[in-house]
Amino acid sequence: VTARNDQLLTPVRQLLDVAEPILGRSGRIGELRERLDGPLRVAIAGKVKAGKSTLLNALVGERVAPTDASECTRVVTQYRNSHMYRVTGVPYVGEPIELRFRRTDRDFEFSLGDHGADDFKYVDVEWPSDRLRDMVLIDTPGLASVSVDVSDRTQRFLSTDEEGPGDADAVLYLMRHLHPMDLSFLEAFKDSIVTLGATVNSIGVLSRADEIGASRPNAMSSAARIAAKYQADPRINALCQVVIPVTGLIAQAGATLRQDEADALRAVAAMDRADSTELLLSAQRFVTREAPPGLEPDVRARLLERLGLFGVRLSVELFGTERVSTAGELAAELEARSGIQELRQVLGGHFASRAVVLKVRSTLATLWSLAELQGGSEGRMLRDRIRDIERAAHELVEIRLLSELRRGTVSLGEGTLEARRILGDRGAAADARLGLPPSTPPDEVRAAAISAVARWRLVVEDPLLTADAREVVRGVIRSCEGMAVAGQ
Amino acid sequence: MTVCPGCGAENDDTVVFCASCGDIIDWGSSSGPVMADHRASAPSNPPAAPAEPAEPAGPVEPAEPVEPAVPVPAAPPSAEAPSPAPVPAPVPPPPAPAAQPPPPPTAPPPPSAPPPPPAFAPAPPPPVAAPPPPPAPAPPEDGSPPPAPAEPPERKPAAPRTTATPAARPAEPEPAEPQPDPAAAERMRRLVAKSALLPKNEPAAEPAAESPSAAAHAAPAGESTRVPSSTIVPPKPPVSIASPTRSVSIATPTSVVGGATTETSTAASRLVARSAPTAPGTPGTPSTPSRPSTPGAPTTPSTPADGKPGPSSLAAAIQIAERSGRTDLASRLRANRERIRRTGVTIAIVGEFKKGKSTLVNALVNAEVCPSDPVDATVVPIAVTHGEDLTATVEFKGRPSEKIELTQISEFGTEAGNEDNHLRVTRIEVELPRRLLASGLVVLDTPGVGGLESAAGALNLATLERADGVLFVTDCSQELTAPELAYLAAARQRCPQLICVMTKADLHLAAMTLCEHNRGHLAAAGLGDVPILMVSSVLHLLSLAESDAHLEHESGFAELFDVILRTIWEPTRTRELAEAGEQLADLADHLAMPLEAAQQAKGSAQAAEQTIARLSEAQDRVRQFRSNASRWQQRLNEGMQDASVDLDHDLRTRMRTLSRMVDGRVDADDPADDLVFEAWVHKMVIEEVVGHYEMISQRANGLAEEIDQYFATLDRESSFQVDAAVPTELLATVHVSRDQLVKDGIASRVIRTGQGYSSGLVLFSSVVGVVSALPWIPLLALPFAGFMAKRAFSDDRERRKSARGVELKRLATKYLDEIGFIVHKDSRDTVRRIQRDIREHYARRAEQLELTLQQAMASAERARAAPSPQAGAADIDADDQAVVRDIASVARRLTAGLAVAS
Repeated sequence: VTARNDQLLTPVRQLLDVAEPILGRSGRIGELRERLDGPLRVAIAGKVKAGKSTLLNALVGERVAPTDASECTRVVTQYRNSHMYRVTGVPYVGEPIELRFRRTDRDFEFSLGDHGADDFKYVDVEWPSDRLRDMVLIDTPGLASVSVDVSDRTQRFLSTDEEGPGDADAVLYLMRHLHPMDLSFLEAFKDSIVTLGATVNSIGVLSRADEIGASRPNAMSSAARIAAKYQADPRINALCQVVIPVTGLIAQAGATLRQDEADALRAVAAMDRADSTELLLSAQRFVTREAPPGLEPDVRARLLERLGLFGVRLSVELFGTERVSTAGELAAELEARSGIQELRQVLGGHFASRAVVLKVRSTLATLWSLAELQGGSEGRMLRDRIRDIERAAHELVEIRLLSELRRGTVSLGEGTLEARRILGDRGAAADARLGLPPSTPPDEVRAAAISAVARWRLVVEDPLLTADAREVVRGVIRSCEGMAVAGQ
Repeated sequence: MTVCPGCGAENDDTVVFCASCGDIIDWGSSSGPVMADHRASAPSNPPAAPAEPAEPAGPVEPAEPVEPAVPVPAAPPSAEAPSPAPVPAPVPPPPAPAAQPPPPPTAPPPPSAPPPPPAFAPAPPPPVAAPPPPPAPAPPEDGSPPPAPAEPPERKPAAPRTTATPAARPAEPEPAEPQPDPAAAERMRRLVAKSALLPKNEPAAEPAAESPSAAAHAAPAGESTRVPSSTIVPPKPPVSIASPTRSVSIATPTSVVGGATTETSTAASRLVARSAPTAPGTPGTPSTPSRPSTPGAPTTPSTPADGKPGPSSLAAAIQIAERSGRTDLASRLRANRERIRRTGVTIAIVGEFKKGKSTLVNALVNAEVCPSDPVDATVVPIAVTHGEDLTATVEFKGRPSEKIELTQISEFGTEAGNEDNHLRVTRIEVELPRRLLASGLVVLDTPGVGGLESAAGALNLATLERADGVLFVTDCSQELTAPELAYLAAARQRCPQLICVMTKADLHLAAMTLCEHNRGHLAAAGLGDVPILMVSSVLHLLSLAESDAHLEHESGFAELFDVILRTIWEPTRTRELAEAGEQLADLADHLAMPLEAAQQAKGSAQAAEQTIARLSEAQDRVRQFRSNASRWQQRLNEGMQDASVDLDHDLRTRMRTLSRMVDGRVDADDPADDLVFEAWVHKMVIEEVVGHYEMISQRANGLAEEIDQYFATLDRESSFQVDAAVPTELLATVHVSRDQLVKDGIASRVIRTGQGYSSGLVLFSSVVGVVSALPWIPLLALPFAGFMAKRAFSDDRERRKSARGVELKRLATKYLDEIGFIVHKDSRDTVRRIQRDIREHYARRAEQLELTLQQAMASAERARAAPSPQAGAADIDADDQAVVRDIASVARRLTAGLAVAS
């Protein structure tokens, strides 16, 4: 794999070397080079209050991003692994500024000092965490915010402007239960993804899943149904290959649950059944009703803030039915039910295993638009070279073909689904591509790949195939061949 | 025990859902007694309505006995109290001082009105013995009039009883409640007095139950305090009930009708005014001498002076009309009475997808009628209206409606069975026996507009024209978003009575804070006066099921009902009544003309000759007016032709603009995503089409008004006016009020209920109907989806881009062409239909006028022939005249309500 990555990276690095003297303004090339070597940059985008920061905390497993009931994130913030805690503001003009921050065991806050949110292109938070090692997470202000400038900041960050395409290699798009024909919803996608040319780098997250259906106990299964529906909707499918229901709040609580919180929840579960039902009827009741000692109103308010009504109900239920008995068990159970693990898996399958490809893609895309701006014969030369690289690297071809299939611009009839899978729609691993169960022995994988090659060779002979379709089929065959060879 | 309608199992009265099959138990039908009882008292249900005798035989009706009791007791004798409120508040039985311990019984200035007739409680929960009564707040009380009077006397005494047991209601949580304690006690009483809900179950409490309870529902706590007594309007009967302490003088329309009878002096003065020469233009205006009493002592409690049961005056008028063979007038009178009784008030529930709209509707009517599923969203509008039985009807585009089971609603109305509305359902109508709805309230659940900036959003906006009020639903999980605010602003332009409701308050602790934030956002968007409140539908339903007053309080529904009452129901009702008043005045004039002609002709042979001459002259004029060659007909034809040409041009211009915009977008920003482009095109198209229809509406309205001028001129030129013989007010009134209406921008929503003929106003239905008829036009042909599939795709980015642009333009042009074709045809049809409607409308008006003139002529002839009529006949005439005067005075009061309100 490493060898293969080098194969991919080398020409890109060379191209950057070539480009540097031509485009060498404002250190953009240096930035690109750094990106290429650094971890994958994943942006978390979505409408206001979709739960972006909460999800980010859940992914990191710590409370790194401040969250609040009203709009909270006002400036694009990137979180990356480091050996120390540090917060730096990167202004549009001028040198980065170190910002002051405050970190407690419960919270983390930084202040922009005398600067307005508008001054910064983004804020860089360095945070020692294993979970951030393979991925830089970027928190964005919500789209469709009432404060237009807040939305603008995200747009600016994610969309193409004279500074180049979006600053992320991949996007987690958070959607609450929305209507698929929501224009602004689609436009948000357009800005964040289409400029990058493909939809391979986006995963849809049905966020705040716990609030679906009035937070009834079956909220998560309802959420799963909705996610399945979204995924089947060609309109959404064209934008992101999978939609995963996640309740960030519960995941975050699971990741950061404290002993005293678990104790309080256990105390609620220990109450008389009728009393606890009363108590859990509504958020207001939960906080204001009388309750046994140890459950002072502020304790309960805190619980509610941390877990949400659904989370509290769920935890009490778990304790009450003795499915969990310790804080650790509860935390594990909450994480398991939050959907965050599925999301991590998909992130691993779709993003991490393809990190290099995605990075190369976004680097080339940035370079392309810089070259376009540059114009002239040099610009043309650069673009020709970019195209050469794209044609030569099968991984990049795969992604392009995949996105065309997904968007319906090319169709292979019944074979479309299989072709998509082989091109890596369900993950880049060979077994996933061939529709085999995970950890299938290499021999079987190879056999399957060979038979797939045979099948698709027949397809490519079809004289009625359009040129575009034939190109896709060739790509499919090549992917299969690759797997057959790799298995040896 | 309540029998589940679904499976027949017996359930405890307190449950909402059947224990064995899980069906919702419909209180309306299961607790028959409750409904029946209320019906008896509240005539809101036309069929059962005892009070306002629908039948001419009013007086004889069984219900009658009750009525007399009412007006009589209240006797503050001011015979002639034109209360500011168009309605003479039927004086409430002077609050028995002794009886009302807690609340200081009198509100000084405002004439205390007896609690209006039994409001109908929404859906009285079946609960029985639970002490905390389910405070089923029922929104606006129904307009049902007649019975009101009957109750007051009994009610008051009853009140104290309940009050005495202010069931422990610990913290009276309504901070906003400026009311004095007694009021709180009263509210509490209402809440506690479960009996109110179930009169039958608790005989002891019954009297109280009848009205106060019902009223309680109708008027959410605190109601009265918020309504400045000065702005009394007829439609808020429930108010007075809310707090006896500050009872506002409210008269139910019913009572109005009743009280009218007694207002002799007014009638007389009007008569005088009429016979006196009046300036031509002025007759109809409110301030005319003809209604001198109106402006006077507004706050004086007016009381029906004589003991005559008032309610029958309308019925008597119908009798008169029928006796003289004027079935046209009789049916108009009936329609009018129905209108006074039941105001059609449509409240549209709008908002983004999945915000809890359907659940809110269910909670409002207390029945699971709108499917609310966590996954599948509503895709067609569902209207919940009143009906004797629980029924559901699906209306389709292009085929006959079908009756369906309630359980099938989700098949037709949601994504579960009708994704993207492929069944082409235009609407589902659910009828439900609910007193809340019996008043004419229609709750309209709309599909979530899925992104308020989408085509659906634009379409939805167009339909708001017809709504009387809008509940904009958002939820407590987040602040209002920019699209939501934009939608709110646009919605308010079309329907000013707007309320922002934040649902799911039970789930979010931060709801309060969010609400504040939202208030700030609203204010910043210039919508600061839009009320915003938080509710929990779930808690409300639960509280009804469990009769839990605390829960009910937490649900916030009392306040919601209160706000609906104040900001939607009352203004609409006032307006409706005012319009009804105008029509009634017109009718009264029609009825009065023959009577007065006889009167005038009676004196001497010369007078008779004069009268007859005048009448025949008028007759000629009217005849001429009716003839085909008349000027107005010509004008109508010409005007319509002009409009037709202009509208064609308008449509073409719009389509061209659209097509240019599409090209521009394709060229300029290279729509990177087909889906975005498609959604954008849809949205733009719908906006333009809606704009076109609005233009049709505007043109037609203008023309109708012009025609109306001809009519008014005809009338003004006629000698009647000067001599006050007749239609002085007939047309002038209508005309004037029309101006007012137009000015107020309400003309556009006159129709909706289509309750028969209204002078000059019905017309607007066909005109206004235009916009609301449109929603289905443009959505039929959308060749867009998936259109890019066949597009050639090349590896080359530039080529790809330009090929795509060409293809997009081609498809867009085709699409616009298609839309233009469909809309053009429909637009033409609409114009033709409007022309026909206008013509028929005015022809009918002229015809009625002619008929009336004929009658007047006949009676004048009769008077000439028999100068000294027999005593009996004279009596009849006198009686008739009294009735007509009553009606006229009622009409004036109703109309005055408009002035007060605006």
